[in-house]
Amino acid sequence: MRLTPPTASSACATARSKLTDEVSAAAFPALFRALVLRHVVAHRARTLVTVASVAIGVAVSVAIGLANASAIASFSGSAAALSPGTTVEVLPLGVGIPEKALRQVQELPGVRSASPVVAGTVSDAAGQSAYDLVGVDLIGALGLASSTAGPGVPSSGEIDADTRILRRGEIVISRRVAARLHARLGTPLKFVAGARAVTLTVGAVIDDAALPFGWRSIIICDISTAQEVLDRIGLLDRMDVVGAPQADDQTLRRELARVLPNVRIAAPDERARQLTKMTQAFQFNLAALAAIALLVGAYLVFNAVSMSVVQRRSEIGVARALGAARSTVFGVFLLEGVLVGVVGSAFGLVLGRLLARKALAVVSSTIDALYTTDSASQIAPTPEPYIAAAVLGVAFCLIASLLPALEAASVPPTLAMRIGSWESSQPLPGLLLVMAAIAAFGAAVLLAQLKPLDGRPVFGYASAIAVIAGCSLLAAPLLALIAKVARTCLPATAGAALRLVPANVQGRVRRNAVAIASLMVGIAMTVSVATLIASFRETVNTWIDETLRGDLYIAPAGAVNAADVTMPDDVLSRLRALPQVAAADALRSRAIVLRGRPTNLAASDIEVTSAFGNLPLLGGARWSNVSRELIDQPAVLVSEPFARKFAMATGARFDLQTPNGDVRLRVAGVYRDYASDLGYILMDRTRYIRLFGDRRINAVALYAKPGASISALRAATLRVFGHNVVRLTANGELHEEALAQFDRTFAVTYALNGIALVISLLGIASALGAVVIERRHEIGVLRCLGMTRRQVATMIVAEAALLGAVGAALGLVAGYALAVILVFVINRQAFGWTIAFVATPLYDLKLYLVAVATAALAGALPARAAARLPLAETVRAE
Amino acid sequence: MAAQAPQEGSKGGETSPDAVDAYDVELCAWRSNVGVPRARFKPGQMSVESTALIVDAESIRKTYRNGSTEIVAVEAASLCLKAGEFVALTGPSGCGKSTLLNMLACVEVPTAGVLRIAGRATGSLGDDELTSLRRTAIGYVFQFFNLMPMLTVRENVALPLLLSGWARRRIRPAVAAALQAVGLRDQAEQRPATLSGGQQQRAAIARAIIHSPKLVLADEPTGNLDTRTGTDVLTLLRRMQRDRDLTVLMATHNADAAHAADRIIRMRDGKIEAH
Ligand SMILES: Nc1ncnc2c1ncn2[C@@H]1O[C@H](COP(=O)(O)OP(=O)(O)O)[C@@H](O)[C@H]1O
Ligand SMILES: [Mg+2]
Repeated sequence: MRLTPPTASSACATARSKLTDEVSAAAFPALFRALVLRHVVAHRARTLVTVASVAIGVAVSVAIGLANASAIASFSGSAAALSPGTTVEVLPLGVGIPEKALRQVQELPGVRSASPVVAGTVSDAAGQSAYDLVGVDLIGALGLASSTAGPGVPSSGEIDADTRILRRGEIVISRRVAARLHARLGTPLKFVAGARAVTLTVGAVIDDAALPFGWRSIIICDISTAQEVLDRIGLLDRMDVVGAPQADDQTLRRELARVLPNVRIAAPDERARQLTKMTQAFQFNLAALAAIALLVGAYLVFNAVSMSVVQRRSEIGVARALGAARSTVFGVFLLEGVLVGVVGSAFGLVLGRLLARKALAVVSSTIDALYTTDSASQIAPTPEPYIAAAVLGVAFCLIASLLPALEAASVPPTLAMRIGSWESSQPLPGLLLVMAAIAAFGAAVLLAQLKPLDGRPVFGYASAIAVIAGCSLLAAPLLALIAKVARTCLPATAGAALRLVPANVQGRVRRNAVAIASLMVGIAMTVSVATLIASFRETVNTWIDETLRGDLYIAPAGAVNAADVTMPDDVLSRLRALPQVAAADALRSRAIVLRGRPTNLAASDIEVTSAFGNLPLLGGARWSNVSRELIDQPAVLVSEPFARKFAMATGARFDLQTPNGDVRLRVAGVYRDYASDLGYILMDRTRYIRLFGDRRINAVALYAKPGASISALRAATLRVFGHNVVRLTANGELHEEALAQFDRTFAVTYALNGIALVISLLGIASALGAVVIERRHEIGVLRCLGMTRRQVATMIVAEAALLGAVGAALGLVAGYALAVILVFVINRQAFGWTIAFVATPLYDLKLYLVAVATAALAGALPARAAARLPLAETVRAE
Repeated sequence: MAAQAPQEGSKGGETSPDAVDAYDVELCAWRSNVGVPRARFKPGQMSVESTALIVDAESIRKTYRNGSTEIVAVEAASLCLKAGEFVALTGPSGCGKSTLLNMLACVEVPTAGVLRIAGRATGSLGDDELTSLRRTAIGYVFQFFNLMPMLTVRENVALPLLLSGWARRRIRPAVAAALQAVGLRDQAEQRPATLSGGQQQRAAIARAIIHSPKLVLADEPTGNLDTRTGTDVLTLLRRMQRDRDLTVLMATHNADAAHAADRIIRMRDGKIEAH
């Protein structure tokens, strides 16, 4: 008889393992039902809180993502070239491109077509809202003639290029704008443009859908109308050039540069890219905050799955004994986390879409105020924000359930397991945790030293996460230490209920550590962001106090902060002649591109600025020296964010493109500024006019003579301009406006912060509730031994309050560490501002008390329930 | 300290408020149909003290609802336990031993019948009064020990005294003595999880007797132990009962364990069987 060949035995083993696999595979649904689903359903309330927290986190991410994408889509849309297939755009370096250049370009062999564009800002007569006015060559370029109003759209007129649009002073608006202006076909509308009143007539109303996204809230008119309204007679703001099929890009650019030496030639998507870049720091920070809300949600998932593993421990043991594979158990619990992520994300996507409109309103008003006039009011139909948030949501949940699932897989097969004894039998690796925490803090310090990545403070955020990780790691050892100290130091007068508290906390130190870690994250984030905002606000407040020295500021009506709304400078001499006026400073500021990055070029009357104004110079420079250099030599001042972003200090030189060729300028000094994170180059107005031929001004700062009445000055100024075409702002008002603008900018941050805090409070509530459920048996035994309901309640509430107190305290510490990172690393890298650190102790104290009270309350509810549990069941069940 | 005035807190619903001495032992024996040895129950031969009834249950019944069906766990059980008795309660699994014990421990409330523990009718007591009764008059030994995992052995044993509000300096010697008595002096600072099953049950016994309860209830105290350890634990329980003059009712389905008792009460299908 032959021996069984080795292959047979191995085949047998394979068959057996295959059998186990099959059994496991078949057991998976059953196991999932038994171990997870039943549990999840039994603890509906907690499941709901967990799912809700993920949903909120995802919703916030979706909303912010959509708002950001829509804002970008909106200005990319409006910045998009008019003619399809535009190869390059020709942009002026100074006031504009002479109109006659159009013909030259059109006649170039490599050019198939060139479309002129004149664009600017007008405001409604009340000076309340601003609109972009775009003048185009309506006959050729826009191709609107085909996209007329659809059927069933009564009062809207068809665009008839020959008869209607060519008439002077007529405009095309979308239905949306028509509704906002209460206009219909033929309505004459009063606008203010460049401190002059103009009347434009509605020549056509067209369906929003007929216009590209982002074009739906602008006013379109013929080129000549735009030139007249915007004071650009004979000038163009842009040319969209379509290259001939045979001409390549390089050749086209070369040809253009030859005939038009002093323009900028840019790719058609450059403006959109610049706009995106402008707002990137702002948007990145919002996205980061939203991600933190999601992170707090992930802590809750970790909590929930851990709980479910702990409570199912004996069942897991039995399942393992009956043949469930380690991997099956692992998979079952991983699936729980993933399912929570999927369900939470699904709700989050819907909720996020609903929140997006609100978020967009906030985001776009901030972006408008800070960067561009283009108001986005529509949610862009882009799938990316949904996908990103859902992936992030599910991924966070998956990661959060990894550890508990591993824990579940490590449960040894057993048929009988004593409940509640396992955690205390495993010593806490306290030293290891403390060392890991120290390593995390070390990493945080190192990461904080690194330079930003592509302008994004990526390492700053990584440093913040390292701080959070370190504090999370510290939670367990800290809790154990405090419990140990409390155990020995508790006064002899404390009742039995209180005396059990430290032991209970110690007995479930890991579980409790997770609960307080999620609270810690929420508190840390809230404290740090509040500190950042307070620091920033205080800094800006001081700076405004220092720098706003003018008595009255004049700007054209409808001028939003950064929009290039100008007025002619002929008013200057009349203003200077007013008897109340000591001096008038003409301010000019416009967006430019330097070394491929957006920044601002500003000009003022340095003579006046140095004598009356007070721009704080950094590095001990003196105005008396600097002002001479600015007036006499090709020198400029730059703002602090500019110096940081372009890495230029006093003495540095750089080339600036002008209509008259490149000019080398020297940085004479750096001044402190919080008006724009894109930075400013400030030069003397005389030099600016000489270099750019641009005499327009954005605002005038009037300095009154000593003793002159401001109201008289105001009245005199209005007489110079006539009514409603300028906005006059007295010093105090401007100060308040600036701070109000500041607060609007940070409103969304506050809201996100609040959401994260609420999630983390929900987190500690659900974690504490879960711990009580987990302890039912123990509480039953205590009740058997004669503990009263009141004592049970006291014990649990005291425990919850202790956990809340420790968690919130850790949160405060982490919060201050994060605040330092936010103020000195992230903010500096993202915006380039130096901010003085201002703590908010009162706010922090309030927050602390709220957290402790919430924790105690969160304990009180399950404590009541626990005290009322039917005793027999709790002692009987084993 | 733990003594309870018989009348204290008793309200209506009780046949006689100061009932303990008035109870006729014979009547009780007849009523409970327990069949105690006649010889020990000659009327008038015993002092009022020693005949005091620690447990006096009159037709107590416990039913559970399971959806629409009603499960009768204990059916009209009557029994008396005198001070100083060590009684075994035997019967097959599921016959209602634990339920009966739990009712006597004031952990479960009888659905019907009258129950007096140490002379107090429990029927009219609220949760706080029942809790206080459990705390002062009753010690409970569980099959699965049920020691608090986060407390040391010493702290576990001290729990009943702590709950009764004893001062720390009085708790210390009492616990030391109890631990000495059960032979766990050296394990005092360990966690229950580090002890063997037998050691854990010894600790549980120490915890059950530390406050000198009137009544000690043990639900299959050896059910989770191997035979030898079980015997040791049983011997310990018996010794503690003698040394401290305790009244013990022990549920068991181990015949050997039952034979160590003064008398045996048998149950079947929720009913107490005749001797
Ligand atoms: N909470 C309960 N709900 C329903 N039935 C119960 C409950 N507790 C016990 N029972 C039933 O009562 C009967 C007696 O149980 P038990 O007192 O535990 O018996 P023993 O301790 O003698 O094994 C059993 O049939 C049991 O199923
Ligand atoms: Mg039983």
